[in-house]
Amino acid sequence: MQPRLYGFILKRLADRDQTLEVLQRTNLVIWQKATDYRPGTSFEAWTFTIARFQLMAWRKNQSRNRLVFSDTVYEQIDNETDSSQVDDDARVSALKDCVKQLNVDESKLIEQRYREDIPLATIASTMNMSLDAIGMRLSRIRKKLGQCIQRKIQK
Amino acid sequence: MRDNIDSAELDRLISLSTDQSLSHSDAQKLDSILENSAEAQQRYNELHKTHTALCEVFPSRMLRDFASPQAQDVFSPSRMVAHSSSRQPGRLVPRIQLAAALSICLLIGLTGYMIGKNGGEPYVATPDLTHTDTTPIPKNTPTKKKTWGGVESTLTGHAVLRKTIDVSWPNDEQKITDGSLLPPGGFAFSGGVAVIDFFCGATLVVEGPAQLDVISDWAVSVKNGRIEATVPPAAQGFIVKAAGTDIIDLGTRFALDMSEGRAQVAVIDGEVLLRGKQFDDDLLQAGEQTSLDREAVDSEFLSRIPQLDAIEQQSRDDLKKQHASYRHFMKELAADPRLIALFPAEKKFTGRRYPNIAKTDFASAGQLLGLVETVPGRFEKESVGVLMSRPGSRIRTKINGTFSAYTFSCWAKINSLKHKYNALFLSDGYENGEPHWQIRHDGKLMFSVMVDDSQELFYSTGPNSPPIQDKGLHHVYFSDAVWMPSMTGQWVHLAAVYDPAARLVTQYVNGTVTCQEKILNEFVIDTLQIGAAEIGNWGQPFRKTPDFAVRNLDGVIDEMIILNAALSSDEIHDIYVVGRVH
Repeated sequence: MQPRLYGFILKRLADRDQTLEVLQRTNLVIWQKATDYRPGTSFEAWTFTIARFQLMAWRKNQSRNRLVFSDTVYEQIDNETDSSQVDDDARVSALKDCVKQLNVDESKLIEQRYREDIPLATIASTMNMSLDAIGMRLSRIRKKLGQCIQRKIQK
Repeated sequence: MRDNIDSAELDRLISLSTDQSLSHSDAQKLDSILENSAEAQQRYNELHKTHTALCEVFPSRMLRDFASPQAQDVFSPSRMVAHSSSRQPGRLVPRIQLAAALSICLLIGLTGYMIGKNGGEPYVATPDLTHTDTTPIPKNTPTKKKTWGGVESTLTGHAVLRKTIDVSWPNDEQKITDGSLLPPGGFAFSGGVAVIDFFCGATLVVEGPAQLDVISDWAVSVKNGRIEATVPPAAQGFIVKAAGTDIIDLGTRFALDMSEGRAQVAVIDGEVLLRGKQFDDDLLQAGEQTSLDREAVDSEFLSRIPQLDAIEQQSRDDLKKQHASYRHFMKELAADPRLIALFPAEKKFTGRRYPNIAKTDFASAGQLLGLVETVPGRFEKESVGVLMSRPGSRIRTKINGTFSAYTFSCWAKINSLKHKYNALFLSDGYENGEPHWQIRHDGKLMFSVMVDDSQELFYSTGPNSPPIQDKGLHHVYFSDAVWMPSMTGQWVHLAAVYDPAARLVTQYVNGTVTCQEKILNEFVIDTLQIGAAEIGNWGQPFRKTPDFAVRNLDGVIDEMIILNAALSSDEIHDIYVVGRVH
């Protein structure tokens, strides 16, 4: 649940630190309103609704300079229907297969970036590469994985 | 719309936004690219989906610690310090709070799962029969327990509050909702009846005023209240502690009266063992009763004990009576000449036809389209509601005629407001005199009627769609936010009255006015019409692309009423009262 909530907020803020802040606030509200959740209803949808309110409050209180997106683009992104839980599950399941196709270096980079959460600058320095080069390599791997996921889902 | 995007530049910006952070100029660049290109937005969405899936498959410690039961050490203070010092500690909420908050996500999800499945493996605590604390029951918090297989998430609870009927809680803080787990500790209520299932299998029906202390899966202490205990074979040995005595059930049913200074027990079926004070493992058998405090036994007390079967039957009877009264009201309403359409919450559906019972001939029956599900309505099995959770779900109708005012009324059980606009009732084309009634994502009701569709403007229906031509002069009448996530799953009665003669738009929630706004001269239109329209979604059959605005209401709608009249607040209140289920 946390990665999906994180992804939901990140997509709307496009800023990692701000996303962590809003994620924490959302979690606290979920905590405070835990007894309001009705078993049998969609837990994911409930948490996303809370996140949406927190995002609105966050944007309202930030100066425009700190926000990546203008109101127009924010609304366009927010209006886009988020994929359903079933689709997300299918994507995760496909991704688990797709990562097996990565070579050793690619797997290692994904592990470092995601599981170990090592800052890109540190990875770049240990690999003796520029930050931009590491960023591009990650971007290419994600693109490749995205295409693989699409193929598997379409099957 | 500019669609010649620089993919490499876009990918660089998206990567920066997910992996690091964007400079101010890069942020502006990304915003500008996304604003001007549907293709860029699609790419942005796709890359985010992959990124989110990667976060899930390879969760970082921060996300993993709370999403997996494997790593218990996240709760250690040293790790909290290590984490919080790594980034902008001044702005961040302390990690301990985050840990707690994130944990609750697991708790709620798991509770929902357990209750939803009516199973799961609850944490079985070692029975502690010496516990007599009656402090209020704390909110459930998840714990982690080492087992032979590793570390397993657990919940604290010995029983489930299955059902309450007219229970009065001391205050909102101490209110326990139906289906909640009852951890060790005391709770009290001043009136009504509560049904509690202990994990050992025993069921207590408790009539207030009552004060109980849950001790374990196998034991409860009763200070006040009238109780019927049903103890199946699996729960033999269940103990009710009262007036210094342990009442140990050896199977089947007994009653306990701890009200108005009395302390007496009677066995209805089977036998119980009494231990403590004046008792020395004395056996009490079916038909026998005794006082626990040496006072005389009130022979009538059994008749005052609540009985589960009788209570459930009463509850069903009440619902039936209420439903009968509702049907009578609907039948009378159906003959009201002011009625345009009436789609009642009746249980009889023929195929995918949603009956309109209005005697007037303005409106056709509704047609269920897409993955619309019929589910129990407000009167449970006596009625049906229509679940509209899928984007393609819709109920279409056609309404002919012209009208001089509108009243819309419906019941809705909303799961979430997941779209920007969430439909209640929307006419297809939104031409002159046609109504749109919906709820915005922030919980505000919106009612509007097109005044002059000859004016043109362009309106975006989504990042992947070209703008559609929208039409001119209209005013949206907003309420304050009337729905919030805490109302998920609750039935709410909504109504909107458009009264051109009085130049007023009034909206109602649960029979009470929530907002009223004057219709300004420029927005007055007194010839109203509807045409093709949808309940719970928006049909746009004349659009020029396959894309459609997603406005389906994620929830259940039942009993849509449309009248060619501006109903008074009393009439709206009557509709609410007769349809409200206690």
